[in-house]
Amino acid sequence: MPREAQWIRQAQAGDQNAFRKIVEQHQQRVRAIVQGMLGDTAEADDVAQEVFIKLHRSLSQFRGEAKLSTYLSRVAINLSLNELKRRKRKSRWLTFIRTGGPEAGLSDHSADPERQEIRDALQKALQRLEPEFRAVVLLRLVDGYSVKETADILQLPEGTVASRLARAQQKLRTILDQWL
Amino acid sequence: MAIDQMHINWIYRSLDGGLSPKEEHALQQALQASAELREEQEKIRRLRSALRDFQPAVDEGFTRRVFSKVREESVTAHWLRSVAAACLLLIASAFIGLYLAEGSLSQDTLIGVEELQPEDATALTPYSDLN
Repeated sequence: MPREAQWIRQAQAGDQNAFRKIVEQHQQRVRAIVQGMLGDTAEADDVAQEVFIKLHRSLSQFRGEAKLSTYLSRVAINLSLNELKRRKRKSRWLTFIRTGGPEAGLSDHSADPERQEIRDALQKALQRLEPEFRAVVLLRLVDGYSVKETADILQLPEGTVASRLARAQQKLRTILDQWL
Repeated sequence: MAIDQMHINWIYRSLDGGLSPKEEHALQQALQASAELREEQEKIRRLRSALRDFQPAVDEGFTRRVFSKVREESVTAHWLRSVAAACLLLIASAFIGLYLAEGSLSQDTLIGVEELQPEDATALTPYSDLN
């Protein structure tokens, strides 16, 4: 995308407006991954912001060898997995504190209620998948990467991605039966 | 006709373009023969469509929050750089001062024992040990 390459060059030269355009262009994709991985929570919003802060920090080293969207998706997945590990450690120590589940959220209730209901059901169903299966579903079926691109982002063989994808969809299909 | 798990797997793989032409042909035949399988295929399609719509709405405040954090981070980084520079300046001044006062930066000068003589050591020995 030549326009994007231009924004990257301008942002590297310190143009804040170009960086703003990059954030605006990619925020939905990144937020979809992070919310899908962590649930629609305040910490998911923080992690999504962190993805762009990380990009801002490493702009000078960004050579454009990978597509920006691929780079951002990879960072989003990695930061989300780190956050899940942090949650796990935290819950080990603080099992007596109820912090609200991943479903407790910041859903956009201004949207069509029926669509919102399906969205909430989907969000809950995604949280029931193992993180590695969730990552595959989010990249392939939500963000629309091909199986090969998903495999590249997750640094997995294509066969592994395909089999995780099939198993994850079967589980989602069972959980969401009443909605389909 | 009961739904065969193999055909269900084929439906998933077919939607990702992962079937060979022969398997694809066999799947189409199975779909034609089974209303249940067609219904299953439709449900899987609906699931994938719901997932495609999972993208959250554009959040107008998101970019503002990112920029606010970026600014916060640059202020912190600037502050840390200033503190680090001040510390370096302080250490350098101490070394220069020491060099100007003692004319050397040897290890003895640095630990302040340059003019200490061996006999001075007795002064540091406890009184009880001398008796």
